Amino acid sequence: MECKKIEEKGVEVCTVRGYISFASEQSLLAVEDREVVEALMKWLNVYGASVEQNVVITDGVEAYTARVPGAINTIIYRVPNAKKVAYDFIKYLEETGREEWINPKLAARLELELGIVYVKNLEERIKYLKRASGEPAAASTPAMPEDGSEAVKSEETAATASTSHGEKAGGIEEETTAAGGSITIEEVCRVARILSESYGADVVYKYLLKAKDNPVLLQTLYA
Amino acid sequence: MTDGCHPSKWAPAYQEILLYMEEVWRMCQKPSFASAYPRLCAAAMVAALRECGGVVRHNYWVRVKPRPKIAAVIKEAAKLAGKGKYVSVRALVIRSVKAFLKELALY
Repeated sequence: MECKKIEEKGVEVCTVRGYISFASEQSLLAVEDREVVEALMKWLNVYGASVEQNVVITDGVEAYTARVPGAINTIIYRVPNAKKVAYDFIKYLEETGREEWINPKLAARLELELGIVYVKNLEERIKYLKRASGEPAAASTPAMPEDGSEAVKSEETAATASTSHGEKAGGIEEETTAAGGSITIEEVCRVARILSESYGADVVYKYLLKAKDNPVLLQTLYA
Repeated sequence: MTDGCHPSKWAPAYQEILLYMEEVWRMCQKPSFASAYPRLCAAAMVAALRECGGVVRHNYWVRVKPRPKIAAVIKEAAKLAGKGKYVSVRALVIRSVKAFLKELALY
């Protein structure tokens, strides 16, 4: 067994010929496929190795393994936070569109144990969708009377609707009313309209999100 | 909601996003909305899946209640399921969360 210690990271990397089994090993992968090799190698490059080999991530208690069929060597990472590193690996595969390879049970358990929660604030987007849900209906089937949305500012929605704008831009302009602040709604609408014409709705949305906290930004930039 | 059979069992980290997706799925019951945003609805539908096992069949949407009726939604759902005969619930959730956020232009 050849070992190499990386001091600053507290990681010990060993390579073994063949494969040695561990007491409590759990496979990271659901499939053992040649294709996995390519992904493994890319991931290993991040961690400083680049040979076709089995991977074992262990902290001495639990071992997380990714076995590659036909590999001669095994690389063993002795790391203090094996769980985190193992989850990094899972995340890497999932983000590169290889989510069907990973072992779902282990992934779910790791997420629970590490307490990982992805929080995204989608409130406003959902609200906008609710509002928009009425509009494509009007476009495709004109006789669609019920508007599924609970528009908060009715006079504002009326104003945006009268400008005969795309439904997307309309929804965004509505959200600016929350930003409101010291400037008038008409002003915000005007700015949003100009932006949406030149950059598209997404840019407007991002800009307005930023401007929500400090309405001064709106005034100074587009006064 | 029967506990334990929720898709968040297989992807606990995405629990909150899945809740949003269920909300969107309720909006997708409106045929006009569903045909306007088929991909969004197909992704949101995965959150409404009540399958207790770790894998689902490729045509998992037959188990979703209320069952989707718009052809475009089903087509997008098939795309999310991928090529295999079976697909693991976690893989499905990961894919649909990605698609969902992309549809909302947030990813």
